[in-house]
Amino acid sequence: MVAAYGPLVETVFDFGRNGKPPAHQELLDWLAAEFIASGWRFKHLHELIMSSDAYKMKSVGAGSDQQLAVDPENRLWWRRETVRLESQAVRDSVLRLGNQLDLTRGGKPVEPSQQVDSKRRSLYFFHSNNSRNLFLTMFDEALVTDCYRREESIVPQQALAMANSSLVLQNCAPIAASLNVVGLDDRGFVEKAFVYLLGRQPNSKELDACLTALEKWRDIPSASEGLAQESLIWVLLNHNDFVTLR
Amino acid sequence: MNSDKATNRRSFLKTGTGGLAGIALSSMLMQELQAEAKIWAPPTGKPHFQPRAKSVIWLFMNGGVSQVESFDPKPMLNKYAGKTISETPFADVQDPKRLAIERLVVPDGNGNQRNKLYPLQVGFKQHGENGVAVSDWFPCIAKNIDKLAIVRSMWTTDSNHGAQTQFHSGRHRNDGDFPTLGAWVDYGLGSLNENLPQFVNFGAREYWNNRDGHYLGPAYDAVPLRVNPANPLDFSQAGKSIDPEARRVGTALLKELSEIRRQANPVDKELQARVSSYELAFRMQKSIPEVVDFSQETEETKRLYGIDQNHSKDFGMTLLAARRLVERGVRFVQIQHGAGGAGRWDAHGGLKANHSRNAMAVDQPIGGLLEDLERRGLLDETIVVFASEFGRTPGSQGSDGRDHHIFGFSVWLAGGGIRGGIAHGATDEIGFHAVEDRHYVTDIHATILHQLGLDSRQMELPGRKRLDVDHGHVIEGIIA
Repeated sequence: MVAAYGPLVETVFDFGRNGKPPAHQELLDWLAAEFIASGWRFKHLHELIMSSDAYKMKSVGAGSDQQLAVDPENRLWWRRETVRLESQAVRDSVLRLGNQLDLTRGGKPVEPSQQVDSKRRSLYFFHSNNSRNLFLTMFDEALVTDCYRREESIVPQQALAMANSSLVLQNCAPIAASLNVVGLDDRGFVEKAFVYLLGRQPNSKELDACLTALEKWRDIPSASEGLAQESLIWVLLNHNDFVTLR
Repeated sequence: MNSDKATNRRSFLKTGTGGLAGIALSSMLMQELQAEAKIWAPPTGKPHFQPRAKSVIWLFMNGGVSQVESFDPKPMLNKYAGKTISETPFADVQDPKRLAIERLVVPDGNGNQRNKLYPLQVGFKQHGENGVAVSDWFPCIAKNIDKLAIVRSMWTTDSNHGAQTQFHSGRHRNDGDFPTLGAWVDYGLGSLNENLPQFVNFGAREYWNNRDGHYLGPAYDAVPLRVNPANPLDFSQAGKSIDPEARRVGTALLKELSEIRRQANPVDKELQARVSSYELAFRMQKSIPEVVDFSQETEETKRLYGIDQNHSKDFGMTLLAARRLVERGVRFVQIQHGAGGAGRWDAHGGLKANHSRNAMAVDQPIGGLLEDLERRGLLDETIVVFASEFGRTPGSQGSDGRDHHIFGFSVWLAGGGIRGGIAHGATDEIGFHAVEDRHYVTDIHATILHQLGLDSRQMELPGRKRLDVDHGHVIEGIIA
């Protein structure tokens, strides 16, 4: 219903006998009534949902043994589900982190032949059933015939796209630069990069691993000045937590 | 916001579901749901019964191959050449009732009735032990006729090129998007090689959206490959030059960070799946260039596939790669010949030049593939399929072409426990309607799944009831 949140009915594609009943029938009814009463305004509905306590819950299951025992699959929504970023958000984030994203509003769609080099938001990419952006198709686009729901697949092509695409490789340097490294030591850089790219602090093990790797990159004889930091950015862009919302 | 209207609506719903009848009904539904939930489980990766084949090489000729100038020659077209169908003894083929299976997407200048019979543009001969007739444009395939079961009685319903999708999914495009045969095979069967994807595709697909898995999920889409060692797989090469040592340190760190994260979140399935997807990706990155690197193949083998000839080089290389893939355990190799426009075989005009040129491109490679598979002992466990979305009209379009034709066309299968040297089913004397042992496209799917040991009904997903026509019928007559 709202992006980055699961549906209140698991089987939105089937309201027949094989469909599953909603986990919170009363909530669904109330939301429907509220939607109508507001004059069918989606904005109101979205605001209502997104400002609710339920929507703002954490995704972590640790320390919730009781809930885990009763409802291990989280059908009753006692916690937030982790969510994979949408394809467009993956691309836009990579560009935005290095301050490369063109935030111009409106204008003509970006033709397929121009998309590889374009820095415009993915929203403006020309898109049809037969013509899609290669990078975006790797990360599950909206399904036209399935209420625009998206799969959250995990396939090896995604790994290759994140590891090898020019989009990711060319943005490592600008991202490293945008962390404004002047005066930061390695430890400070790693911590800042974690917060900036993954939205959290590294724990001590992660910090140690990163510091060791930074040394190794610097030891490479042909290493350019930025290589170590750019390589760390590459690693964090490929980290599961980069494409995951918790 | 909480107007009276809304309150009323709420209380109405409450009463509605709180009534006695409501309770009884919902508990009945619950029981049924629970019963179904118990039966259903995702595939284990093991076949449902003893398989006869392990892999499929799927050769799809985009645009529509003329059945009468390939695997179902009709001398009556020469006899009545230039006559309108209504002037011949076969006038009843145009009985509107018999034409009613057609479901048109967009009316256009093509896909119409063509009344004036057009003579065969090529000769034909009988081949093999049973004297099966094949046109002279396919001499190398004909030489292998005793490995082939030709099904001459195919029909479909979409007379636009959306029939390409229909041939793969079994559904008309107006019905929506459905998983293709390769996706079902990938979904149903376990991997034989953990370094390679199970389901790959060569060649562009014009009339579908490059997806196969649909409701099975993108994990069951074919992985698109190219026979180009420099760039065989999208994003398999770095888009910018990178220091190999820096990359090695980076992947090692990535692995270490993932492992730290995994230990902290042992129940996070997505994290685990992503870690394994990276491992498979890096294995594929190594193994796939090797598959399309033919330096270990002999000159004789390359000649067998027509790689030494300009006209058959591209398709020959694709088929050699296909053999190397099935040899390494890939389950389904889906190959599209002739992408571009509606498909290269779409001979609305100049059929003779069109089909003779296209046949030159594919005949030697396909014949070579059949021989190569046989001598390596792979043909017994590999099904080779030759198909196109529909056939072409017995009547002429313009002065020298044939239009789309859905009422009767040919497909052939070989290997993997399929009988050889036979023609199954038949069209009428002018190749118009499939009249004997008629088969819809899903019968091909059913036959292939059967040979692979899969029961499509056991693979159905909850909430995704399939129709009988989706499951099709096994073509018993062509099974050895």
